[in-house]
Amino acid sequence: MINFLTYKSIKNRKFTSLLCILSIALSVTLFLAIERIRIGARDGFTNTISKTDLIVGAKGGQLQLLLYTVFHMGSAVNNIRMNSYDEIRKNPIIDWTIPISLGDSYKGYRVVATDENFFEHYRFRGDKKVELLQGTIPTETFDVSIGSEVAKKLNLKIGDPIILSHGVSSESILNHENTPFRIISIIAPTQTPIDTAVYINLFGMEAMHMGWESGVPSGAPINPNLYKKENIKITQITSFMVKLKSRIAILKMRRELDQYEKEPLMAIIPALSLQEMWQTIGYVEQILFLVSLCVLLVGILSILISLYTSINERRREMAILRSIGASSYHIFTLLIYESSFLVIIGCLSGVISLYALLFFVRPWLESNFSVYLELQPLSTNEIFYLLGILIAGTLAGLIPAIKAYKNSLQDGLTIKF
Amino acid sequence: MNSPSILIKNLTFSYQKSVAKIAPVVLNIEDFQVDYGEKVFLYGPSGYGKSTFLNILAGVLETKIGSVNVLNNELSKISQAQRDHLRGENIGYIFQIFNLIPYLNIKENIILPCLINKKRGLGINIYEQADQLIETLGLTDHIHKNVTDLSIGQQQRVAAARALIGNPKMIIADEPTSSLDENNTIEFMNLLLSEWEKRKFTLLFVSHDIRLKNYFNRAVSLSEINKI
Repeated sequence: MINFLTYKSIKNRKFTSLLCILSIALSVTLFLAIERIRIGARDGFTNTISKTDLIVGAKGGQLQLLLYTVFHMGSAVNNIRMNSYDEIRKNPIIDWTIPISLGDSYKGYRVVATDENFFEHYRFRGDKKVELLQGTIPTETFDVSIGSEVAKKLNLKIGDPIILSHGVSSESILNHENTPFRIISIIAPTQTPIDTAVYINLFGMEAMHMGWESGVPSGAPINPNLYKKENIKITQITSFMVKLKSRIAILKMRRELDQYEKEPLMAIIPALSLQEMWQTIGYVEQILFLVSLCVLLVGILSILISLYTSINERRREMAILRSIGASSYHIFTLLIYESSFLVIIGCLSGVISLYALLFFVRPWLESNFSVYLELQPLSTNEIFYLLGILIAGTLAGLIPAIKAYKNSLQDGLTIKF
Repeated sequence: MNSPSILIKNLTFSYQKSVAKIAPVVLNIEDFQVDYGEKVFLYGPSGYGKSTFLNILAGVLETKIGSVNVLNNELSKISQAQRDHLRGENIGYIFQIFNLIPYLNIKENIILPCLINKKRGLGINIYEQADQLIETLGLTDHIHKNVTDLSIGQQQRVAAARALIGNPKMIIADEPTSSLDENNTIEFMNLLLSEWEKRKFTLLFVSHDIRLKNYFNRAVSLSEINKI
């Protein structure tokens, strides 16, 4: 009965009801979308690297080590000697290591020198591996494997020769002209900094700097034989990643590395550092959360306002309902039903448009902001949010409902004009 | 069958706002009775506690002093919810104007009392009865109109049909003709009273138009029974 009246009454005030539903739907969509993007951005960020237990570099800033090793931002002050690396990785508690050598760039994209361990062991977003779209991993001195974004933006394909630049600034004027590299593979998109980097092996890094000991090319011709892998001696790397056989040993290993005697080293736990870093930049997400909360509040207020303003013009209707046997309680429930109906429909349409929105902005977010969103069903958290919105909306209906209840007690069967 | 539909003894009523203040007495009725099946004209110009009186009879206002018995229910002895049920199931009520819920159609307006009170019109097909009433009251041609598009005369007839649906024991009409012109008034009175002839419900008709008393067996003036 009340359902019927609720439905009819809402239908009667189609336009205002529609506006209410629209404002709830919009705010629900906005709220949930911001939530998803927020979580997507955080997960994308903290999952840039996974499985790696420790990142080791020369002593310096912890954040700096994380930034240059994982995000290819900034640069190291000191390097690690190759024999230190060789010694450390022999430790039997170590499962694998990935060496990283940095310092050069290609048209603004960082050059990362590593070895086959990177392609075999590096993991991101849980258990995702670095895959190649085409080609093979760089094993020869002048092999290069490029990130998908680099390939796309610079329109590069397999077989293209490229000249790397010395230093990491995009306006680098010193080029490694004498040591052209050749693209042998393209890495599949990862939505991580890998996409915007150029991968060579450690031999290539060493080879292109032959004769550059002073920081600039000496100009003296280099015997091509020296570029052969067996003739190259790798002397240093920038940092390396470590995976231990047992996670229990992480803290112990970290302490050992921090106190390494032969040169000053430092180890960080990437999972922890990423979280710490996210917290420092995470105030943006809190602001976003607050803003979306405010929008939600406005949506709920719109229901309150629309119902409350309608109460006076509906006094007559309430007296009629009273005359045919409705109790004041009936009048109260009628209004509560109306507000909850509006909120329920609003929430439903909000969720539907959320998925529609995600469906369309997903590729764009992925390619422009490396925010990876899956079209997953509503999470428990989101269901709780929706329940909260439903309760808040129904509570918003309480105020006009109480007003109508009081009116109906006061008016009885007397119709106010 | 001849037990009274309304029996009032020594009723005193005032709007008690708070315990401390003594509110002026609005109603003081020593004795008032309407028998079952009787049609009574209650002459009540405004200012004599008319709406208070009707609200009490309909069980919306609660009384403390004296006895009000409606359809064999001592109103002060039953709860508000029971009074709401009594009204919904057994009393038809017609207002002076704006009787209809604007967002319901004619038929929905008519059957609404039976929807709110499941016991009203129990055992009869209310949809059939609604159709009959629409026909007798000459509303068939307007059935598809919005109730807000009906003339006032038509609206009052829909209101009468709503009061009649489910065969209530009593109908209270509160100035139902005061917004109607002469012709519409006559038409309305004839329709209402022919229904009364058919069904013999108790009819309490309140108006300030003294000329209408000729339609009734008995005329009572509120100013006479209300001894304030």
